[in-house]
Amino acid sequence: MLKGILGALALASTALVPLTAVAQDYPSRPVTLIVPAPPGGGTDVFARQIAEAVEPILKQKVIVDNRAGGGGTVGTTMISAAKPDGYTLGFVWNSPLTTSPHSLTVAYTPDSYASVMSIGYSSYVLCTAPDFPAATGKELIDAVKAAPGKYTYGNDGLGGTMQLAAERIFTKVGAKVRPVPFGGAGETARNFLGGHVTFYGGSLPPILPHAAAGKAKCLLLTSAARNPALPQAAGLDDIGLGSEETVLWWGLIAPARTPPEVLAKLEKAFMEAASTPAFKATMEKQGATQRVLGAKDTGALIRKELAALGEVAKAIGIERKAQ
Amino acid sequence: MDSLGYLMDGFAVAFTARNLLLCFVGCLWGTAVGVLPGLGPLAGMALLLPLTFKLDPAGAVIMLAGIFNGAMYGGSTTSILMRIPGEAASVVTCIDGYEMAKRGRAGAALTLSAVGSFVGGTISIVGLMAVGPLLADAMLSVGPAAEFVLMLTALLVVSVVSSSPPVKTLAMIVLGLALGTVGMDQLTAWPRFTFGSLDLTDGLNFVALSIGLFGVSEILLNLDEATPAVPKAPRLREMLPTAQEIREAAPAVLRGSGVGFLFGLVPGVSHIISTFVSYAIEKKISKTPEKFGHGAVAGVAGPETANNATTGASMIPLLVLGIPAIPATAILLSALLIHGVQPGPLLMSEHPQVFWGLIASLYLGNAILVILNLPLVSIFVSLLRTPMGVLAPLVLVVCLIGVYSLKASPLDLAILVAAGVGGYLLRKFSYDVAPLLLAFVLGDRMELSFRRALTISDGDWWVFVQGPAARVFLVVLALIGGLQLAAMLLGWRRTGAAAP
Amino acid sequence: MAGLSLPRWAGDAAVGVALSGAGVALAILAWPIPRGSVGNPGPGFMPFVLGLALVGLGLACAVRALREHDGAAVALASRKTAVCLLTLLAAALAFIPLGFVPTVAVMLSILFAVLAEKPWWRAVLYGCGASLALDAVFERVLGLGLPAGIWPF
Repeated sequence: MLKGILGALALASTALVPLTAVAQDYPSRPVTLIVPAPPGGGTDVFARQIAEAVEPILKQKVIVDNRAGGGGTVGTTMISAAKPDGYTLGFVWNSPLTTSPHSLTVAYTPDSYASVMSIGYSSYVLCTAPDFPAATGKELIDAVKAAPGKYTYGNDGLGGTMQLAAERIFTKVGAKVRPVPFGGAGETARNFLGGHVTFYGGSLPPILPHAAAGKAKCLLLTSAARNPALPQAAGLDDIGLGSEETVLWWGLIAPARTPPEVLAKLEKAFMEAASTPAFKATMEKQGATQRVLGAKDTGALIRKELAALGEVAKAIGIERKAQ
Repeated sequence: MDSLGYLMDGFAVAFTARNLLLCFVGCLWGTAVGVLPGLGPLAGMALLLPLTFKLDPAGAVIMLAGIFNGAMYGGSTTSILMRIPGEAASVVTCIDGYEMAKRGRAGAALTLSAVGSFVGGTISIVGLMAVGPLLADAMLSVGPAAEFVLMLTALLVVSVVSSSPPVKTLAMIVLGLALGTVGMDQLTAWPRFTFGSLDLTDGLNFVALSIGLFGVSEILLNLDEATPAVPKAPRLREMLPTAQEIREAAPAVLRGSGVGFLFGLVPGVSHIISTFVSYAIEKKISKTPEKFGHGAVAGVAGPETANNATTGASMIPLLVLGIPAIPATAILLSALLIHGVQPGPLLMSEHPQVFWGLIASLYLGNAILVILNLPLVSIFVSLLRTPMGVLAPLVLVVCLIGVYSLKASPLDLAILVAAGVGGYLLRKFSYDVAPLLLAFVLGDRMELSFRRALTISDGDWWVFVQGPAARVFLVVLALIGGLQLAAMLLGWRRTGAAAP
Repeated sequence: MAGLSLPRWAGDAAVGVALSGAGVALAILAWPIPRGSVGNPGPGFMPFVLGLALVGLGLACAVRALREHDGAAVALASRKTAVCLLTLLAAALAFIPLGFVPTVAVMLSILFAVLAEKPWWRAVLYGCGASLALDAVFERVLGLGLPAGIWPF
């Protein structure tokens, strides 16, 4: 009996070892990386690649755990609610952090998770049929401004990042293009190629081969910079709207109260893993651009984007529903 | 012919020891996940996707395509033996496949499914090579408006052949459509009937619903009977189909190949539509339509063939356009993208070894699967020797595992039980649950394409009769509607004449 | 055998009435969702219309059942069905919090005892054995990841 109590006490005391000591030998067991997207998508691919790249640096296994649902909000909720011991992290894309909160009632805010780092971004692009009367990004904007409400553009879903990215530009220049939401960029591409919508709006990979084959004319990116894969497409800098950039980006988050030492260690390790030329090549194969940011920059990016997209959402009448 | 030479090169790629092994492993794993209720091709491919990152692109797609095909072969097993749809594509097989099993013809049903799958799979790959690019262009002309008309046609076709009275079938269709509206509306981001649950924003889980409505309800219904009519294990020499069964199955297999191939181009819901349509056609043209729902051979062979023909056809949009039309080919796409291979109009010229290697491996996979599945038939059928009181509890556990393994969601488990009770009550009073399930799958997309079409046309309803694709489907719709009306009038006259 | 027995037409009609009830509930729940216009239907349009359709069709089913008064009786919820259903429900609720092995061991023990009419000690033996075997197959061989719950291994 006494032995039992002593044993329990000993167990309890090991559990109470100061966090710093724990942080020093962190990680002492495998780390779970929650990915709020289904296997196979861009986010999942990057998560698995970076998990593999970071294993030798952390000297621990990193296990990817896909928790899809609710446009990423289900998995993100799990990450922010996880035990803040550094053994449950989340690899997310920006939509559940900065877009979904405007249309869904989510149980997290930028204060419920710690941003650790981000790896880079991928732009969205607007493309037209080859016979559309515009040859540059500037002419595209002029064309849609001249005919309010005439054209349609396919996007990844109403209130989604792609739509907000496009609307951010359209509101700024005072144009009205009717959004037609589809289930994803592939479906948008199919409907665009079939001539059912005027513009393709979505990520680069699905449309690249068709642009190369001359079936699509890609004119405007939603990133400030241009993209080497689509040399004819203007960046937002080219039309003087660089500050309205909205892109798809990926990063690492952890539950809010994770010890700072652990966060610092993770930031360093993941930034190292994401900065290699090999990882750069991986990203480029998926049409993305490497841009490694640390915890501070990533956190600032999230808050700024959340506020900006909130305004766009409000301007086009998207609001959080009661149910 | 040029492509024949390429195909030979493709076989050279597929026949290397490593790729052969990968194809075999894929087929084996695919069969396993296909047999397990809940896990379908999608989950099976997703689970092994990370493994393929380390392979070369040809090896990666060969293995994944093997899983895809294998899951489609395996899906029919539990449908026939236990009335549990392995995946959406084998919902129809539950109807007559299980009835065949009850009559001691489980072995024949499984054998015919495997052989039909082989024929359908092979024919669809030939079709893919021959007219793939042509069909891809045709597919592009199907916009939201035509998609809506097409799905409406599919629902009508099914209501025509359902076993329950028309008013009950209609009620089940509407109930299915209504259940399909749960979840976040894609066009306005409005969370409908989610009661604040993020889990529900994606809608009710199809797998949980289908296993509950078909499998769990079947067990509950059986338990009410003093001497339940459960599947009988056939004796060894009754394992193979009889000459009569083969005669009935052969034309159905050929028709199923055609139907499956054509409907493989329907985005998103191709497998379930093609199987239902094939069943409907078989029942409609059968000389003995009264046999359907009571173990009609054609009602198993046709849809099972269509199912695998659809798999081959669903590769067309992926390979020719670089656009996955169904979730399973989306996984193939990402496996290719991670290696920097972009499918699309340039795939054949830029990566011939991937393209032709994949085509060759599809042929090969079909051959491996039919060889793998035929011996498995006797093993699976021997499961039926287990007494009902022991088998049923084990089946229920496997259902729980299957549903849990999808998302680890407690809600899905609750849906499984609720659907089981619902299915039990509905079927007790002869409400057919198959139309409900089809409507549930189609409902979401139907509503979206309906509203998308109106958004594109800016509120003009004429959009539904414009464009070549919509017109084609409208003619079919009118034809079926007219035939049905005529049949009904004739039927009335006949019953009127028969009445004293 | 305990359980209910009721005329077929009554059950059939009851299902019809239940369907219309579901339709009413659907229409009421859908009412606050914007329905938009004919040319531009909103998210509430389809659910509302479907709700109304279900009310009508459910009633039509009920009326049809009343007219087909054939006097046949239907047995409902026999003792075995009830036990099976309640056990399944409990297992579904306990599956994640308690974990796979304990939940399934209890579930199978009960079902083997009632459905297969085994003596209780054999049912428990088989139930525990089967739950461990299934755990081994799905967790270890197929690597599916079953809920651990309170089961320590």
